[in-house]
Formats: sequence, structure tokens, C-alpha cells
Amino acid sequence: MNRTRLLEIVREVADEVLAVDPETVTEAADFRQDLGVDSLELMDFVGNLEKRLGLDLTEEDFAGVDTIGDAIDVLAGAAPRAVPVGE
Amino acid sequence: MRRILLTGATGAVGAELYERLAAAPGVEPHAVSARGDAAAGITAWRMGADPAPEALRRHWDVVVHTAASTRWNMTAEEAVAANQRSVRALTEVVGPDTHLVHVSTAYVEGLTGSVESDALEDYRNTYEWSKAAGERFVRANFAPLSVVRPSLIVGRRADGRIARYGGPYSLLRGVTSGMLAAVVGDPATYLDVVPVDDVCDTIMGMALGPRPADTTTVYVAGGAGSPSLGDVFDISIAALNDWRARRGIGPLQQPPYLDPERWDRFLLPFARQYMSARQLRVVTLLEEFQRYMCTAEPLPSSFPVTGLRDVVARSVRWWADAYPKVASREPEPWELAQRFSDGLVESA
Repeated sequence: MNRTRLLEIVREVADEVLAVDPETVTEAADFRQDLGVDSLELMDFVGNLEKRLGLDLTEEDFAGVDTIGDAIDVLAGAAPRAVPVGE
Repeated sequence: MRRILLTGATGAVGAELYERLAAAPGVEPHAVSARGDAAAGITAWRMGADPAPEALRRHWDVVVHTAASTRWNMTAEEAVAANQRSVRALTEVVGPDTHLVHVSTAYVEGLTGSVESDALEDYRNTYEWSKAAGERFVRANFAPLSVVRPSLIVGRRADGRIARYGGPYSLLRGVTSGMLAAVVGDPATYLDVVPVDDVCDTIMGMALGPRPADTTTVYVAGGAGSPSLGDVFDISIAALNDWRARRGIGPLQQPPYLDPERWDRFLLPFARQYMSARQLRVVTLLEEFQRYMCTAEPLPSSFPVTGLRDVVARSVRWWADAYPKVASREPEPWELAQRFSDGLVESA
């Protein structure tokens, strides 16, 4: 999935979970400083992105994430969720 | 004309206060915030990180300092930058004839009943620890001044409006998302919340009044008149469910209460081995709230703050209107927590 599409999805989830103006969700936007997102909100946001994209993300994946662009870097490089045999 | 500088003008208190100062006769307000907002006439100043802009280097009759970070889980370094260096930066704008009105917190005396300790273990978190250091600095350098100590700030009395959603609002997200599977706290203890307009009334009185002869400290807190933790949750869930019912959305359930000591000593050590990394992180984040959910002694209160149950309900409704998709969610069951709840019931 390319970055443009990932940014679109991030904007949709940010709208649903963080209630921020989608226009403020740019690659340069800082979660804490620009979007006013706290730790619990960020965790909720990441959880929703995981579900939406079918990814398995760890806390370590998001440890150095400050901006929307950082988050897209993580999403672009994340492994798809492992599906157990039989499903 | 009274020249008043307001810091933190986009925060929960600052935004409400800026409106009032702009409408007050005989006042020439100037507002600053870390990022500024040219459209709203707010100057950008990252206090403590950058020198004061030239336009601010002049005489101020009053400086109202509301700028702070109220996050409970800051690192010590973040807390120093947000709540100590920013206070030291006041030396650039507070002159000998300036009346400083400093916004602190009702929890600033931490666990010892004093702001004098510099030891982090004497406070519930880095927020309180850094606010105590800030208070020590302003008392030592800008006396006589006015100090305001509000408890947990929620929306205003009339409609629940607030510019920023801090501490207690996170619990609402916890309930609707399912992240808050259980409340580790005693429902009979105090959860001290105050409406933002009561805090602003107090600050306006100080800012527009004479500078005190001696440093004055005012608590804006419910004190012994505060609702209990159980009351606040009952009112909040009822308000959310009323909001949801009007939109055809099913009700939320009140998460069960867990005794903090039992949780810390027995349940959490056992549960950890079954939790995912994300669940452990949620538990760690919610521990910051737990420290405010087992306060048996009321906070000091300088004057009665009444009608807090209605304030909570209106604040919840305002939050739900601001976050309609979050307020409408169906909580995702936390399987481990459900098994624990079942186990707790069986073992009770």
C-alpha cells in the first residue's frame, strides 16, 4: 500500500478515534504537540489502525513515533497479522 | 488600562480565561501559547525553550501563568521542561511591580502535605513533582503573588464546554473503547473535580484586584463536598447512556471496581503473564489514574464548590458531542479481563 493511501486511512481513523480535523493530519503533524493526543488516545488510535489494516504491531514498533509521518513509516513496514492454520 | 499577559492561552483554563479577559473593561490582554495562533491573536512562545519575543519584553501589570503540561505520565525530563523551565522563563516578563497569578494544582503537595520536597517519591507522579518545583520558584522569586490550586478541571457549569480534555476525560474513552475493563479504586473515596469557570472566576478576581500584600493561596476544589468516585462513574455512565439512547445506541455497562491493594498485591502479578504487550501498556497507563481513585481524605477547599454532579453530567455530554464516534462505540471485550472478572466473582 502506498503512502498516499496509508495517509488517507490514517486520516479516517484519526477522524473516528481522535476527532481531529482531517486537514491537520499531515505527515509533519506531531501527535502530542499539534494534535493534542494523549497516551491513551494514541494507544486507541494504534489499536484501530491495526484492526483496519490487519497488522500486528508491537509497542516497540511505536516507541519512537512522534509524528503522523513516523506512524506511516511503521505501518508501511509492518508485517500482516499472522493467521492461524485452519482459519 | 491594565496590561495583562496570559500564558497557556490555548489550554483548558487559558482558553476560557482569554475570552473573559478580552471582554473585560479596562483590560488590555496579550495571550501567548507554545505554538501561537495568529488568527486568534495569540503570540507563539515556547517558554523555557526560546527567549521571550521582543513584543513581550515590556512592563506587565499582571501576568497570569496557566501554561503547563498536565500529563501524569511525563518522564522527569519532560516534566522539568514543561513545568519548571517554563516557570523560570517568567523572569523575562515578570518585573518587580508585576502581580503574578500562578496556576498550580490542588495536588501540588503530593504525599507529604508540602511543596518543599524535591524527591520524586514524595509525589504521585512527575506532574505533581514538577508543579511543586514551579511553586517553590515563583514563591521565592515573585512574591507577593497569587497562587491558585484547582483540582481536576472539567467543563463549565452552563454547558460543559472545555477547550482541552485532560485527566478524567480519558476514563470516558477507556469505558467506550473497552480499554478500561475494571476500575482499580474505591468507589467510596473522593474524586475531586471542579468546573473550569469556577477556576476562571477565581483567577479573574485575582487578576483584576489589587496585588496582595502577602502571597495568597486559594484552593478551587470540591473538598469534602466532592462527589465520590462511584458517584462520578454512575453519573458519567448515565449521561453517556442517555446520549447514546437518543441516538438509538445501546447502553454501556459500568466496569467493575477492584480493590487497589488486592489488585496490586495479588491480581496484577498473576495477570501479567497472560497479558499482551498492549494490555500491559494500558494497565501501566491506567495506574496513573489509580493514584487519584483512592484518596480517602478530601482536598482543602477555600470556598464551597457546589452542584458538581450536574457539572459532571454536562461535561460528559459536551465530550460526547465533541467525540461522537468515540462516544458511540461498542466496547471491545477484554477477554483476559472478562476471565478475571469471572474469576473474581467466583473467588469472592
